[in-house]
Amino acid sequence: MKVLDLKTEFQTPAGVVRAVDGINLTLYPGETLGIVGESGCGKSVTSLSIMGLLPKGQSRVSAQEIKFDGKNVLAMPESQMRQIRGNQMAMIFQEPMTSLNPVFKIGNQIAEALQFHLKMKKTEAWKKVVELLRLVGIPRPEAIAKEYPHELSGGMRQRVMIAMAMACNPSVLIADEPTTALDVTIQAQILNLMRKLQAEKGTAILLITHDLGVVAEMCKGVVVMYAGQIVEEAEVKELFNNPKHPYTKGLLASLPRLDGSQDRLESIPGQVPNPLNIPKGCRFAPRCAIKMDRCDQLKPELADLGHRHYCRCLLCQEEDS
Amino acid sequence: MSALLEVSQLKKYFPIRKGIFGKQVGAVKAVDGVSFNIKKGETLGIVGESGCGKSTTGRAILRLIEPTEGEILFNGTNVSRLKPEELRRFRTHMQIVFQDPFASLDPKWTIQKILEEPIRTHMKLPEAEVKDKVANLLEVVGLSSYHAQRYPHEFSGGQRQRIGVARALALNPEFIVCDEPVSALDVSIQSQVLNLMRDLQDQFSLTYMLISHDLSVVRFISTQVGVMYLGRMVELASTKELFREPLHPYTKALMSAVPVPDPDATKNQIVLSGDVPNPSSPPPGCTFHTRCSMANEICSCEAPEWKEVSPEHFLACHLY
Ligand SMILES: Nc1ncnc2c1ncn2[C@@H]1O[C@H](COP(=O)(O)OP(=O)(O)OP(=O)(O)O)[C@@H](O)[C@H]1O
Ligand SMILES: Nc1ncnc2c1ncn2[C@@H]1O[C@H](COP(=O)(O)OP(=O)(O)O)[C@@H](O)[C@H]1O
Ligand code: SF4
Ligand code: SF4
Ligand SMILES: [Mg+2]
Ligand SMILES: [Mg+2]
Repeated sequence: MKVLDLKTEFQTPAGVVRAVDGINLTLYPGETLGIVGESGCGKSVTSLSIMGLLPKGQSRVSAQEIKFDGKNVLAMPESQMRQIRGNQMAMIFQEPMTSLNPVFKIGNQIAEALQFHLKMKKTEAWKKVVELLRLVGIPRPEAIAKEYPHELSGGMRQRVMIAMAMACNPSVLIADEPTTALDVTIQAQILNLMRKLQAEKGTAILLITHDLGVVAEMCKGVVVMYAGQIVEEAEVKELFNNPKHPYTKGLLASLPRLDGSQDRLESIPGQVPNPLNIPKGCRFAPRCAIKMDRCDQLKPELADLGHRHYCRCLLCQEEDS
Repeated sequence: MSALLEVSQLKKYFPIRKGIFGKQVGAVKAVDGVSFNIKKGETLGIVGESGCGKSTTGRAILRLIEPTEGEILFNGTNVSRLKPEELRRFRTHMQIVFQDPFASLDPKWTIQKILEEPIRTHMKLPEAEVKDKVANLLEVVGLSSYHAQRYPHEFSGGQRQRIGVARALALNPEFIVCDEPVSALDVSIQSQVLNLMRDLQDQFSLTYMLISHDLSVVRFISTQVGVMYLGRMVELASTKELFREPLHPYTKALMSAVPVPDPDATKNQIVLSGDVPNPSSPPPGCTFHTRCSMANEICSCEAPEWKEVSPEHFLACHLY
């Protein structure tokens, strides 16, 4: 999957908010790409835009291209998009209740997707449902399939979501904070499950999270977002061992570590900019420890540092040219 | 040094009622016999999964909810026996900071009013001193006095949490329960608040009980850590010892499940199977036996005793 120059705007009473401003992403089969960033930086809007799931009235999504398996998704009519969604491209949300319908038994909800996309017969679909629930580690799958979402624990609901997302063997899975609402021991189960399914089916995963630990354990490549833009992108080892952008460095330094005792934590002063009032030059300038005068005026480009490492900072850009 | 707070056999059962007469049909054993001490100037971190009883323990100690059983000694005073009026006065010594800074601040009040309120209720101070005190509190938590006339919604999450801390400090307490104080914050902001909590502790010799599901946060700020599972404490030790050599199978699993922000790290992850059981019908014996890979016959019928396996290292497991 390839996304080029994605821009998403919202019409709000206070004015137009550009929540996502020129995002490029390339996702390879069998690989996991992580997107990290603080809340409000545009992670969810990015994924919803790709899936075509934002409300049409208030939002405007534009891009040079959103290519999926060589086809341009952007130009597709909604009916064709619906075929692709859930079938070749599936999504897992942070809060499973937002995408599970509370009044239907969970088995019926999964079966419906199978009948719609794979044109399965009802009995065949039910067999597959039970198999899927077993695959994601749900105990007593026959019985649980007949239960309603509210009868399950958070971890089980998230597993049902994964079962539903994996039902049609999608080639791309977008997971938006899939474990943020879960306890760590349950998170470990879910992440293991996602890894296992990926290894078996070669799924490409776009994993959105604010947890750098999850990124380190799951991803091949990482994209760091700040205020609607990508500020750094690299392979995971490179990003953790050799971060270039002052924001990425700040994030890594502000983490309390499980392994040693620190006396003080680093922190990034200030807070993310108001989306209605984005700084003119570098968006990170008001919080940057090494800000220079020209940072308030010049907009840094995403500079190519080689070996899949990109950074949006004037210092990198100047070194580059 | 002697303990500032001694808690023994603390229990809190919430009744489960059914039918129109509200007949009690059972109980959620949210906290089921928890004991620990905290020394002055130290921090006890409490970790465990959602619903294991961390917040209930914190609230029961302050008697924000009435404990079902157990004794709470604070500086020699038996808090569990205080009458309502005595308790009201005693509250000045013990304060709480909540997880969600927004929900815990009245949106219609200015910051000035939010911080004045406890001072006016509990301290008889002349007007000018009240104003000074508020200005001073804001400064202590890294805000300025021009913030005083603003309303909570005008602040960022990190700033609101600072206001929550300022309010807790208003009455010069000795002890503060911090219930998930940084869980709602992004990491870059979280570290600001954690540093602030450390500085204030040094400055005012505060004693903390820090409740968090995040082990790295707990490690950063605690001197002692207690691990809870289904209403009970399963292990309690100094932070150093617990992180160097966790003994209880649940502590081990919990620690190994935390994703490490280092792609070069190698670790042996213990992935627990199954979910946390329902606290209204906990498994018999050791409540962890349904998920424990080390369990043997005795574990499912007999509850392990809470014992001190080495100095200041407590544990409840049949293996030790
Ligand atoms: N007022 C109440 N009435 C009935 N049950 C309650 C009440 N408050 C808490 N409980 C139950 O007591 C148990 C412990 O709850 P508690 O809030 O202490 O958990 P916690 O460890 O703080 O969890 P979290 O990490 O989710 O905050 C849970 O099973 C909860 O559902
Ligand atoms: N429906 C909407 N209308 C207006 N603004 C929105 C809407 N959805 C999101 N936004 C704004 O877009 C920005 C990015 O949001 P989001 O992608 O949800 O952040 P996150 O990175 O936390 O997932 C935020 O400033 C948010 O307030
Ligand atoms: S461009 Fe300037 S302000 Fe922006 S990150 Fe680089 S040094 Fe900091
Ligand atoms: S008592 Fe038994 S079940 Fe419980 S933690 Fe120890 S070994 Fe496991
Ligand atoms: Mg989001
Ligand atoms: Mg709690």
